[in-house]
Amino acid sequence: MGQDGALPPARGGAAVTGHAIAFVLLCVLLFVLPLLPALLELRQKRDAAPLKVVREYDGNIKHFANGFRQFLGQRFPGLIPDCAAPAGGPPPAMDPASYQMAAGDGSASFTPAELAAHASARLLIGTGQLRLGAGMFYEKEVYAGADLLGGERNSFRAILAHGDIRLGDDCSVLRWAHSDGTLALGQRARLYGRVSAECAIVLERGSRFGRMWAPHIGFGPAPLPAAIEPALRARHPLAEPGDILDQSELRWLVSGALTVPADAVHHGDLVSRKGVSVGDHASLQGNLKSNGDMVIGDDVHIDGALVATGRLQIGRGCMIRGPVVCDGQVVIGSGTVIGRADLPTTVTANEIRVEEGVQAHGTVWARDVGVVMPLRVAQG
Amino acid sequence: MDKLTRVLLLLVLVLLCCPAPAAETAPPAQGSVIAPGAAINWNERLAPFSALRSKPKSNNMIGLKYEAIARPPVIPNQVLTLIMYLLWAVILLVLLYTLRHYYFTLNRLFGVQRHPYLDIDTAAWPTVDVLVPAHNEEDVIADCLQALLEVDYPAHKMRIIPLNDRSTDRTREIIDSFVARYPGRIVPLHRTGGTPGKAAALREAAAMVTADIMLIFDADYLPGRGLIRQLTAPFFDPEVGAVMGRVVPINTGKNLLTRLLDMERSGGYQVDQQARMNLHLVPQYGGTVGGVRRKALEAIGGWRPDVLAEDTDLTYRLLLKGWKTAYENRSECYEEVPEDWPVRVRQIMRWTKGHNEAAYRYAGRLMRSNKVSLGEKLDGLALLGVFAMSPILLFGWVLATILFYFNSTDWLTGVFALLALMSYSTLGNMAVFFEIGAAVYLDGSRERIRLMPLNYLGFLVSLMAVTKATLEQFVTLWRPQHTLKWDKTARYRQPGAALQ
Repeated sequence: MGQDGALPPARGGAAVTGHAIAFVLLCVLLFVLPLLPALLELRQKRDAAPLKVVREYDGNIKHFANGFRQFLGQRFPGLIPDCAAPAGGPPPAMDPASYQMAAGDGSASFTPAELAAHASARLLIGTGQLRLGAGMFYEKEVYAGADLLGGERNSFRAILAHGDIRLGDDCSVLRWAHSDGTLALGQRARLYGRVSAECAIVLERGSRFGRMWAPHIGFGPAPLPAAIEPALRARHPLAEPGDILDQSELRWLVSGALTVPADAVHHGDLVSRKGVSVGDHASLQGNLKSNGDMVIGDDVHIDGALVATGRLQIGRGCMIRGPVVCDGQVVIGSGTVIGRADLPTTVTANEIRVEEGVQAHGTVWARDVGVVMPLRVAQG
Repeated sequence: MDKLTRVLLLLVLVLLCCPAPAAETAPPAQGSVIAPGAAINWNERLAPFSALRSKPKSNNMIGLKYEAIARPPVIPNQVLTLIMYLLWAVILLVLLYTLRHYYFTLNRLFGVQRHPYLDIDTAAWPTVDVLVPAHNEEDVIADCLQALLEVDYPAHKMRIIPLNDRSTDRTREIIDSFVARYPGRIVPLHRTGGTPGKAAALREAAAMVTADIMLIFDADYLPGRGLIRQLTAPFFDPEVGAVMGRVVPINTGKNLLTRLLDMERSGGYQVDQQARMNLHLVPQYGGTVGGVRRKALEAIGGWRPDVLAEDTDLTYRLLLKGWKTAYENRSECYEEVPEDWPVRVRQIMRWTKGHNEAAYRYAGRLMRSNKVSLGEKLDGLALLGVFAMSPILLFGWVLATILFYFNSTDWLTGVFALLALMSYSTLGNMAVFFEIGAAVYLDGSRERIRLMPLNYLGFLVSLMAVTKATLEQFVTLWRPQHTLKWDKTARYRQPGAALQ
């Protein structure tokens, strides 16, 4: 011992064991560290509730109007006929400064500050007919117990009227409007939210809209242009296309573009894997689907739905009974009628351009924007 | 193939083909000979030593070209070469599924979203029969029927048909009490015999269906007021043969399993299904919270009673006949997910067998069909093969291990590393996790995303369960009698609890 090459003093077994344990602990720590947020969340359950599925909300266009009506009925007893009393007793009274009741003659009165700012931040309630001036911004909801007659250049957050709503040119509605009668707007209206009426909605040229519902929706001035051609014509059956893939259950599935010639008649559904073109005066008793663009001629009668994944152009004087569904842009020519008074339907697309003179029954829903275009003058 | 897919493929090809940096040559072994009696130099640094050979030079990063090793082979080189090619096939498959996950997720995050039928608000609604298959569902059937009676759909155009399939509990009694309370609106079918199973029950009930559309809800589902209209709206499209809504777990916070399943369901519906809808691919009919057009069903010969997954089977039979399945992401409905791991494993195994069965039946026909687009063929094939990927992945690991120990390190290093990387990407890290993360983000949840790493546990369980089911399926293929039974997922809810 003590000479060159002698073994160094052996380390203690306890020290080796300690190092091994420390190493294992370090490994466990390194493994667990990234999992720490997960383990904490698992224990604390900060976000463990089921995703919210709203079971009661059914997408009714009158959802907000009904809610507002209930709100008014509970806070102003007697204002809304047939309004149920709140279950938990009357709610606390509103601050008088937060609303104004319209005067007996139905005209609203504004403070000098409101007049100077051209804006009112108070809830406006008319127990009967309500008359409004021009150029104001109503930041809170407006209610009329009967008709609401508004001037030009008004902007509303929301409107509810027990009667008709008639607004001047260049008005806008930011969230929703509902009339228990007819809702008529002047030119260049801007309807950003939901608009509904129990009788009719009438829009003038230059107006823009989003989602609307009424038994009758008129675009542009009445009377409507007369039908381009008489409804009764000599028609011939549609010939079977050469590239048909399937024809079971009264449905023709076509691999290429489908062309329905003028004056053709067909009973059954038509589906094209490409575009579809329908000639003037054709009559289809069934649904029509295009996986591409679709062009419908003038005076075409379709007793079914139109579905297009591309753009859709509907000519003048057409009658479409079923829903019109389009992934892209829809252009509807003057004199066309969508749906029927007794069978309302839906027009839905990202963009809807409607010529003056179009009528729709039911829902018109532009996901991005809808616009009423002036009547184009026929070329030649 | 869009630009993104092309760029990703290009990147992978560049990675595979680029030359590797020159490998450092290991210094020659310093095998020093110690003379007897010489003093030991304890401070001498020895060269690293490994049981494996030092890594020789390879021609590129993945070692496609390799130099023969001069030593007696344990396994013939031809076999090892075959194994290598099999391994590369596995890697390619895994890579394709990885790209698919990315493609769907990026589409969902940044692409154009399609909900074309959601806004059909007003229409002449078709007649609807709502089928509710039930086998010993006394705890939940009443809630389901009550919810269906309260939906916002014209009552004269809708019938409810509970399918009581040989229940031995109070299911029949509960259904009959509803029939008495709501005459004409509920038309029950009490089965006491016949082929067991949901598909067989549906096939028998199809004879009772007179409506244009039949919707199907499992007995533990709770449809909201607007759900029937939302699910019916796509059928105005004459190309749509089936529709599928989104299921949302209601017992999310019960335990780790339910929380993991909640995230997994989000990924599957919020991202996968909606991306397929956006891209005009093959959304899958899921057997519940969905429906089928009666004419389309008749055109394909009705429900098949001899299948384990009637939903997948229906999706592909419709597709092959030129009918599409539409997915409605905002048509949501609560469901219960398994709260016990054994129940979950049984569920996965049942799905696996049904899915593989459909793959066996329809993969070839799908590729040959002239009614299906190329995109639908590729997506449909990937969907059919999704449960086959688990055993394939495990097979890849076995192949890689064999190569590693029997002729490995020179040319295998790159392959092995790539497999590990891809497996990790698919199972754990990026692709699936990215998809789930995106789904949770789209759902507006925040804290639950912290559970993401624990999903690895769920995936491992699924991997094993799917592989076991696939192996069992191979074995049962050779049995003379292949019997079907209604392997119902356990229910956890108490009567009336979910409607509060």
